[in-house]
Parts: sequence; structure tokens; C-alpha cells
Amino acid sequence: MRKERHRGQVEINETLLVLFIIVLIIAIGMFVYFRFSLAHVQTVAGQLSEQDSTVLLASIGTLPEISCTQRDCIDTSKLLPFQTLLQKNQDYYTHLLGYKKIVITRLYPQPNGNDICSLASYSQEVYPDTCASWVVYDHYPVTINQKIVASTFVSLYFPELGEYHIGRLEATRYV
Amino acid sequence: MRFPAVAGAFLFIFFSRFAMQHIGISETLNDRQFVQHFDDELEAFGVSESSSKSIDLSGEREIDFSCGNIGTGGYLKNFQKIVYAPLSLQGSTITAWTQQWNFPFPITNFFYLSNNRVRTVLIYDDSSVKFVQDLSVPSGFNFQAVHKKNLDLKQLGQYAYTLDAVNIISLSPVNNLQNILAAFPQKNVNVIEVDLQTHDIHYLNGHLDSFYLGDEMLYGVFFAPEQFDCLKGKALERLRNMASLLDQRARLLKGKTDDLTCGEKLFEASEIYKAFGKTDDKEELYAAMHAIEGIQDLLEKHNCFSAY
Repeated sequence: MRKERHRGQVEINETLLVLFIIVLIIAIGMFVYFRFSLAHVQTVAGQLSEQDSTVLLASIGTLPEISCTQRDCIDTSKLLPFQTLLQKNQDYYTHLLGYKKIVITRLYPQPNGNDICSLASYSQEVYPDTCASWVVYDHYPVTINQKIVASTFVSLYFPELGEYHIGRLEATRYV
Repeated sequence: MRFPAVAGAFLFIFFSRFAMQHIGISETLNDRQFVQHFDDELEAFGVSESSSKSIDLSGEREIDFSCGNIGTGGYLKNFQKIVYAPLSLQGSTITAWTQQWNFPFPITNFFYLSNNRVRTVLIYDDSSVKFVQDLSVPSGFNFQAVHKKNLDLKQLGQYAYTLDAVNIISLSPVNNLQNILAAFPQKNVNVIEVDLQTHDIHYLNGHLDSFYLGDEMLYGVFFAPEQFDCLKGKALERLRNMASLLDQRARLLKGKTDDLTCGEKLFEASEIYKAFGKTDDKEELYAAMHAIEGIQDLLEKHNCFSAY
């Protein structure tokens, strides 16, 4: 009787051990699987993010809010009013552009300094020599893990002078 | 014997749940990926002032559209684009067309989406021939323009069984609504009367009246009559934003000119831009549009800065 009970106890222990090993193997398998899944999701997210940046770079210059009527250049006289519009319609533009920083810099003719263009610099007689760049949009997350920068050359139109200058449009994506 | 059975059942339930959850997550991921990709496609496509293309959906899909929101499966994304499309499009390809909306200054790009399961029939008469001749709807759309005297409802209704919806747009008064509806039994039919002179739109079987601002907006009725009014609201918001930006631009440029006439005209332009922001009235909006066009011509004539 005692011997039989002992055998039963051993069998239960064996079953538990086998079950434990099976669960352990499954847990390891699931861990590895999730690691691969996560890596795959991160790769997809990275690809989409890269694609999004490239598309944005091509499309931002054609936004009617900042482009010339014929879409072939950036109308610099729209850049300061656009900043005011951004403040009034934050929701819309943050949905449209997301976590990014968009800067337009005048490259040629070379500006005298590196100042950022503002209403104060615009109202000066010697504008556009009073400033070099416009921060068109800047919306960043609480924590920034990575910055992906893409840039392209653009034609800048100054209606005040009736002249076209060469500039660079830089889009930084916060990840 | 009881213990392994309970343990086995527990493991079975656990794995079934895990598998179901995994399928759900994969589907959600796939839907999100698709919508993001679709958004990027439209964004890149919208770089052009006017263009059309066929978008491959990589297999049979159903895409839902709800006043600018686009989704598939259970996922719906808030799109900032103005997309004129039926409430739902099913198929493996979508025909897309984009046009820049000017009123008279560029405001945004409109996107028109459809497929061959949604048919648009445009009925015109002698007074609207010019409009139809100038119209260039891309060939990928299931679109047909018919002169009123050549309209054969029986023939039109013959192939309707392959369609999900039919939009009948008439550029002349409709006096045979019941006949039109009878030609498409058990179909989602929208019969719309458009007045090109007054820019009014009447939904004859929906008992709704609306209006459009510019031809680009009118094309929206051709492909998305169900969502037209809601999208018009979004478009008006963009119009007001753009007018407010151009108002500030005109004031800035006014400060940069020494020419009195140019200064006066820019001031006038600024006042008209303000008017865009204060009204939803069709007549007032058209009046403001014509006024800005007039000022732009004068500014160009006097070699001043442009109003837009």
C-alpha cells in the first residue's frame, strides 16, 4: 500500500516536471518569437517613418501656405504669416506634420548673419539681409530618442525685391 | 489522470487565446501599415497641381471614408486631406485624381477617389455643353457624360447590377426623377441637380440643398455626394485659414511699398481677405473671390506686389 502510494507520488512528480519543462520551452519560444516580432514592427515603423520623411520633404514645398502661386518656389513673404496661422490652428498642423522641425535657410546670396527671421527683422529697411533662416514649424515629443534629418535645395522668392535666391529646406523628424 | 487533463485544457485555452490575439494584432498592424502607406501615396501624389493615377491595393480590400477620415478593417485614421470618395470602396484598385482648389488663390488639393463599381452619369443640355467640353475626368473613372436628348435610362440601367452605387448629376432641371429611380431598382442612387449659373446643388432624393465654390469643389459632388456637405465645411475652414494668412501677408507687403496706389490696393486686399473669414454665405464668398481677382489684376497692372 505504502509502496503504491510512493509510486503514485513519483509519477505525479514526473508529470509535473515534464509539464514544467514544456511550459519553460514554450515560454522561451514565446520570448524569442516576441523579440523577432518586435524587431519586425520596429523595422516596419522605421521604413514608414523614412518614407514619410521623404514624402514630406517633397510635399512641404508645395503647401499653398508657404509656396508661390505656381508651386515652383517658396514665397518668403508667407513664412512669417504662416507662423501666426500655426499658433491659431495648432491642432490641424500638428496632425498634418507630426513631430518635426522644418527650417528654411537662405544660402545664396549669403546672408550677413545667422539670425532667425522674425517680424522685427522683417520690418527693417535692409531686410532680407537682417536674417538667414525661418523656423517654419517645430513640434517635438517629450522625449526625443532619435532625429532623422532630410534636406533639399529650394528656390526662395522675395516679392519685396522681386528676386529669387537659393535656399535649403531641412526637415528633422523626431522619433 | 484528472491533473494532466486539466493542465492540457489550460494549455489549450492559453494557446488558442494567444493565437487569436496574435491574429488580431497582425491584422491591426497590417491595417495601420496600409492606411499609412495610402496616406503617403496621396501625399506624394498631391505634389502635383493636377494628376491622376491608379492605386494598387495589393489584393481585395474595403476602404472606409468618413468626412476625410480613412480606414480599413477596424482602424480609422484622421486624414487632414480633403478626399471625395464614397462611404466605402471595395476592390483591388482605386482610381485617384487630384486637383488644386483655387478660389481664386490656391488653397489646398482635393482628392477624388472611385472605382469601376461606382458610376457617375453627367446629364447636360445645350446650355452646359461648354462646361462638359472643358471637363477632363481621367479615363479610369466610371464616368459618362450624356446629352439630355440622348439619355436612355433603360440602357443605363441594364448594366447596373455590377455596380455598388450610381450618381446621376444633371446640369439641367430634372423632371423625370421617378423614371430615373425606377431604372436602378435596389441600387444606391443619388440624383443631383446642379445649377452652373447660381452654383446651387439640389439632392433630389435626399431633399438637401447645398452649393459649391469653384469647379474643383463641384467635381466632389460627382464622386462623393454623400459626403459633400461635410467636406465642404472642411474646405471652407481651409479657405478661411488661407485668407487669414494672405491678409497678414498683404499687410506686411503694404509696409514695404512706397507707391500709394499699391499700398491702397494691398489694404483693400487685406480687407477682402478678412471678409472671407466672416461669412459662410455663397453670394458673399463669390463676391469676395471676384473682388480679390480684380485687385490682383490691378496690382499686376501697376507693377505692385501680388495679392496672392
